[in-house]
Amino acid sequence: MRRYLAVFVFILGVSVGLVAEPVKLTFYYPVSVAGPLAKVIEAMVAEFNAAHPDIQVTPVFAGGYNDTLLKVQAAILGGTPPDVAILLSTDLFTLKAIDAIVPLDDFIADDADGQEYIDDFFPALMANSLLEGKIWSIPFQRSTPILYYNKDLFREVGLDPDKPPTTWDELVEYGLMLTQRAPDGSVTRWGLEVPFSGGFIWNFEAFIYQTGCPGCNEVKIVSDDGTEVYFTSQHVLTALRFFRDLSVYYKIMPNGYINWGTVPSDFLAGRAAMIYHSTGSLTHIRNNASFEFGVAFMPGLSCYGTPTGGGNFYIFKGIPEDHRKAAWTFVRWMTSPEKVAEWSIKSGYIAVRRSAYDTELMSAFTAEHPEYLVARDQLAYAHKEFACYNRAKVTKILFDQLARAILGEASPEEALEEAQRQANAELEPFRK
Amino acid sequence: MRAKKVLRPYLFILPAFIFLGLFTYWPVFKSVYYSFFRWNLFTPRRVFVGLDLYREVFQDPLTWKVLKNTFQLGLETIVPSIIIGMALALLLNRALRGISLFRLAVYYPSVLPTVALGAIWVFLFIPGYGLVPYYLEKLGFGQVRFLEDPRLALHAIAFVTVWKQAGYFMIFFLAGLQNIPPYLYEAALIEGAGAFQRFRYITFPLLKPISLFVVVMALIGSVQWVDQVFIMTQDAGPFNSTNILLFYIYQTAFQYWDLGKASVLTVIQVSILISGTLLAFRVFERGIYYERA
Repeated sequence: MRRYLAVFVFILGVSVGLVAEPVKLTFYYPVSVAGPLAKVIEAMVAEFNAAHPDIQVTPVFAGGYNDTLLKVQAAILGGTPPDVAILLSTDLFTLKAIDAIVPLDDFIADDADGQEYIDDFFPALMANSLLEGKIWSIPFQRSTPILYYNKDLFREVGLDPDKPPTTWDELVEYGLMLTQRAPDGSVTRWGLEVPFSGGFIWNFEAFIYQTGCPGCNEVKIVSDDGTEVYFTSQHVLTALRFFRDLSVYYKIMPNGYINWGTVPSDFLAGRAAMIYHSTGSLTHIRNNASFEFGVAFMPGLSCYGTPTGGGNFYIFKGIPEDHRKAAWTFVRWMTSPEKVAEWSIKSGYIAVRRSAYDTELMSAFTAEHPEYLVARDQLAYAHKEFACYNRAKVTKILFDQLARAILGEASPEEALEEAQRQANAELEPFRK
Repeated sequence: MRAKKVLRPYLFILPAFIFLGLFTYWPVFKSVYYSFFRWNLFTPRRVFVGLDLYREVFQDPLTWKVLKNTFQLGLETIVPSIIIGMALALLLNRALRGISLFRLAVYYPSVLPTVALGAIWVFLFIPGYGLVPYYLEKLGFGQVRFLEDPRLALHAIAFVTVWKQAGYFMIFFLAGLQNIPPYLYEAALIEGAGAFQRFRYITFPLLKPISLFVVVMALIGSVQWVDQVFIMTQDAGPFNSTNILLFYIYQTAFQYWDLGKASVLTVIQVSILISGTLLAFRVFERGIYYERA
């Protein structure tokens, strides 16, 4: 009897030991849009931990996207990589170059519903995760730019508030009507504002994609392996000429730098009648607009078109096998349809999976706020965000040359040729 | 016994030295070491390349633009902040009811965190309805876009910096003014010297030591701050028009991940700082001499 008791106590001890020793994961995440999103993430992680006694995830708020990448890089150099992190989907090439991440294909293959899970993500949001035939990240907080327009001002100038511009021609036509000038010629209200600052080409990318159409006139500005860019292509040139003309020729948009952060303020102050801005700003604008506004696809030339943006989950190299498995469990849980819906509603990001829109939570929300569906529907025309090796430097090169053309210091052709030349020099070492 | 006596002072500076060594000298040494290695995204494992990176850095026109910006910003902030700081000190160096309130008001901007005041000025500079462009437009200057125009962005940053540090320098000058013995002025008054003469022959020469101190502080300070650039013009403004050395180091290391090149730039930055410090030592020596005389 005593022996049995001893065995029993031993087994109990071992199992308690197992329960008491959960796999401990470190999870780095950024917050880059307005609102108390860190609290939302912490709450979601706490819920995960409560539901998984064998896994203990510690969330680490790491600042903006670049700060988070910086901390990840420092942690890797220090030999203690995080287990899982949210980083820009376009950071893939950087993370690959420093050999920091593992492909996720084996995890997906091991899950009975793995393929089904992957196929449920919107393909445009998945596009930035693919490299060398493998999947390297899982979409989580994603957005696209969309058109916001002031319905009151549309009415004021005699436009139909329910018919936003759908083509570049209409954009110019409406923009001319909506731009207002003082008697001395200075502009008191712009027809259109598109952010253009901080080496940030995201909004300009939309114009590039709008010059082609999926299936018939495919737009490609970067090779799939991220070692070649095509800045001198007709698509980029057409986009640049139009973007320049908006401010230089039609004068419906301010010329030169337009600050990302001040564009929504201008819109809310009635200083800009139409703006292109992230879907992530929808909640902020909805809460602060003193007028009726609409949300629509950005107008296109031959087709609608938009880049995607935002952050994905990555799992890191150099961590034990059980950590990787636990990290995958965590990623799957965070991207379950219910959590995706919850995150989308609380943050304003697009719900990344189709099935998330079928959840009770999401359908109730979108029934009340149909404007949140515009970004989802625009995904049909979405392209992957521009990404390549040395991305920060290459986008900065392109941005500076675009600015030269817009400010009239070079012709669009010259500027793009210069951008191509400089980008080639940066990418050359990565070509095998 | 004697050994103890010799060792004792070193023992006292040891704690400070340990911290300085760990967090200042060792990183500087490491930077110099890494500046001989190619170490970037393409070569994540560093490779020794001797002086190659130095050649590349000095051949890059952007380096020279950044250095020019750094010195231009230094010049545009140091000279006005010192003149304004001195003028404010002269204005505020009098017995007046509520003078501390005025002093506080002038000193206040320098207590604000640079990040916060950067954000405030971004708002004040918003084209169209920001306070500054709004009234300039009313006054007939047209639409001025301070932070968006490559010709203006650096000046706008210089302006904000002057606004921040003039009050700080004012405090030094005020201390200097209050150290000038009042009997000199009394004597001057008896001799019938006018206000300008009193300033020219008493105040100005006697403020010289403190002025030199302030100049050196300002010189060293001017290559050390970066917050304004970071907050007010993301990514160093249109065409790198506000890119200064410290920001460029940050950009090269943490946005472009080119750690070798960033180390070379750090060596340049450290060299500038060391020259500034050597200058400071010489000036302090002269300052002390001056006071004894």
